[in-house]
Amino acid sequence: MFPPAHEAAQQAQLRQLHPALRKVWILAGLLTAGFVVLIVGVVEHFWWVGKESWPLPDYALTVGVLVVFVVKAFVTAFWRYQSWRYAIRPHDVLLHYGMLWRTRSCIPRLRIQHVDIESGPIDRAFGMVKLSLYTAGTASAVGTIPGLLPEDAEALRETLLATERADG
Amino acid sequence: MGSEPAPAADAPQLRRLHPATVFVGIIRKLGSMIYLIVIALVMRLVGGGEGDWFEYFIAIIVGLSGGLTLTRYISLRYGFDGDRLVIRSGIFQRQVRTIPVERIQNINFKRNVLHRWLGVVDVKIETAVAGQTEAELSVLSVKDADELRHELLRRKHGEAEGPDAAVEAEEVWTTTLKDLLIVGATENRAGVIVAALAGAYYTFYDIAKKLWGPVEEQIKEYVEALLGAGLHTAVLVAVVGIALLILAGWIVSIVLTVVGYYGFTLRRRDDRLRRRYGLFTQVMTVVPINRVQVLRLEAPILRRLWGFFTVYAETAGSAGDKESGGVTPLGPLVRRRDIARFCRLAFPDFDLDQVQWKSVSRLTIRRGFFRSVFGLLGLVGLLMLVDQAAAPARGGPRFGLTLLWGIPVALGLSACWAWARYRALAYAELGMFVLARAGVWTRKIWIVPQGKIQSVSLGQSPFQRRLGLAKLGIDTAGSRFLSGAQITDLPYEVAVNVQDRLSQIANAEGLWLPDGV
Repeated sequence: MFPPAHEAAQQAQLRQLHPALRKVWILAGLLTAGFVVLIVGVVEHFWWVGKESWPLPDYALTVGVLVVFVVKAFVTAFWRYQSWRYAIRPHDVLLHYGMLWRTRSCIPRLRIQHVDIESGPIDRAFGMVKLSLYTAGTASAVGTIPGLLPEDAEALRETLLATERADG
Repeated sequence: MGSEPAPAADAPQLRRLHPATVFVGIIRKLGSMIYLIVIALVMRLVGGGEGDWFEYFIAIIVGLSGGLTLTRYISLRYGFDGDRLVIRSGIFQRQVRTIPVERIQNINFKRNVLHRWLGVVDVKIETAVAGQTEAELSVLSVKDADELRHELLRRKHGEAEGPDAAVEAEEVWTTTLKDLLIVGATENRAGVIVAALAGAYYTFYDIAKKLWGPVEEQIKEYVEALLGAGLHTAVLVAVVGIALLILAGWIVSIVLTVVGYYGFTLRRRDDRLRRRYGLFTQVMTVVPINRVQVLRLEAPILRRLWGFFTVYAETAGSAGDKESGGVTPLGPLVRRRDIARFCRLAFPDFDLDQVQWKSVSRLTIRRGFFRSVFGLLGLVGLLMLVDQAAAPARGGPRFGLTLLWGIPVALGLSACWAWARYRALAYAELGMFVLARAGVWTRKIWIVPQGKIQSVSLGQSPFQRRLGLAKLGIDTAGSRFLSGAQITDLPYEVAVNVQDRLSQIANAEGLWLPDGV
């Protein structure tokens, strides 16, 4: 069901993000899982394990939460990756993203005030960076492309900033 | 007052704040903490006067704010240096703020009763930076403030505009007292008042309990007797109680509006609209016409049925500043027949009467219906629970009655609501403008010049995707988050076409000012 048929027919070459981004998201998801499981485990251990009133087997809750969050990390990483597309069109930057709540964002190139390239520790571990676009509009970063190689991000930035007054 | 005599040509002559600054600063700090102070005071009175902690509390506030303001008063200097406004401040932490004159969009004045008594003005300087006042000079003497504005205009526009230019400006709009009464009376504010009262109740609960114990017992007995008398009586009493609350809120709303916007006048000079209003706190703000990003026409349902709209102008750089952002209206009350003329004050090329509205997808009726049914059926369920609780006291059937009339009413109301919502949703394009319309309880109409479009985003919830619908959001500078122009529930393909087209149009240079806004 995606991308929409007419857009494939258009000249827009919809690109996907770099595949390594999935690993970034999985790792981030696993870290979150670890954190949550730690808290649930501690709570379960001290409050509920061994008590008569607790209906579940010992540590079942912790294991259950662990399984859920690990599965979630993998599923969302792949799903979110699949849902992401972007394109640099002659007049604007086109972003497609979102798993359940989908967004299609058009950012006119001449409206871009500045471009940020940033990376967190997990991004860096896999050699990924994020590129953020800013306009004068309300949303401070009107669009962020999360999974690019540093050289691609820089090339993209140069292309976008060079748009200034070149056409239109 | 510490100001130097008339400036020599190029040397920056720096002026100082008015000596009353310290006093005003302290009062302002006390005022901003008024809730805390009132609570502390009440606690002190009720809890018995042990210790002087309340006095210490006040003394600390006064001391701290006085000290800070004194530092500012002593250290602050401002003046023009060529084409820049320079403001120096600070003793330990020194700051020099330089604002190029052409970046300054607005100089806004504010005077409350205290300011007027002392003959001073609170001055705020705005640029296009979203959501902030760039600099504040608090407080200046009226003379210094006027000279500042006069000097700024001279350097920006090269015109020798005399200090009484305000008189030369053409008066384009006034609001009568009757208008303000109508605005206040048609505000949808009751809910806020109720919430505030509820909040106050919980805040003061402990104190209230001491004074209130026996009274509460009485009320409990009374309520039980009521429930015994039957669900319908209890509902009736609750309804009357809520009605009284709403009435009180209504009256407060009217008073607040009249006091807040008293004497609202709009004057135009060249490409600037000057807005002045307020009874106790007088506000004067300037709206540069070419900085208006969006015109928003808004009307709560009563006001609209009565034939009026309120016009807001959202300007760049003012989203966070109540006085000049999209919060204070450009026209608090405009009659339907005058709206087109009024809009031309900000958008001279725009004729509202020529707009041809296009409907969105009819499938939105389904969506609106389900959203409403959810809520209403939930309410019916709640009533059923109450009914059940009361049933043993009064005997008679347990479920039957509420369900019998509850469900059809919920369905019927939802259908009407969904239809009304569909009829309200619309969009249009006219010349260089894009329009969007929405809202039943509060009707909103956005008028966006193509040149002000910063980006366009299309969103779909899972439900909208199933129905093939989408919501289009048009982003501009200066609109507050969530209140920007939106076209809801367009068919997906139509939305994509509109989005692409608007994005292309917005990319054309020459439609906007050099800083992209």
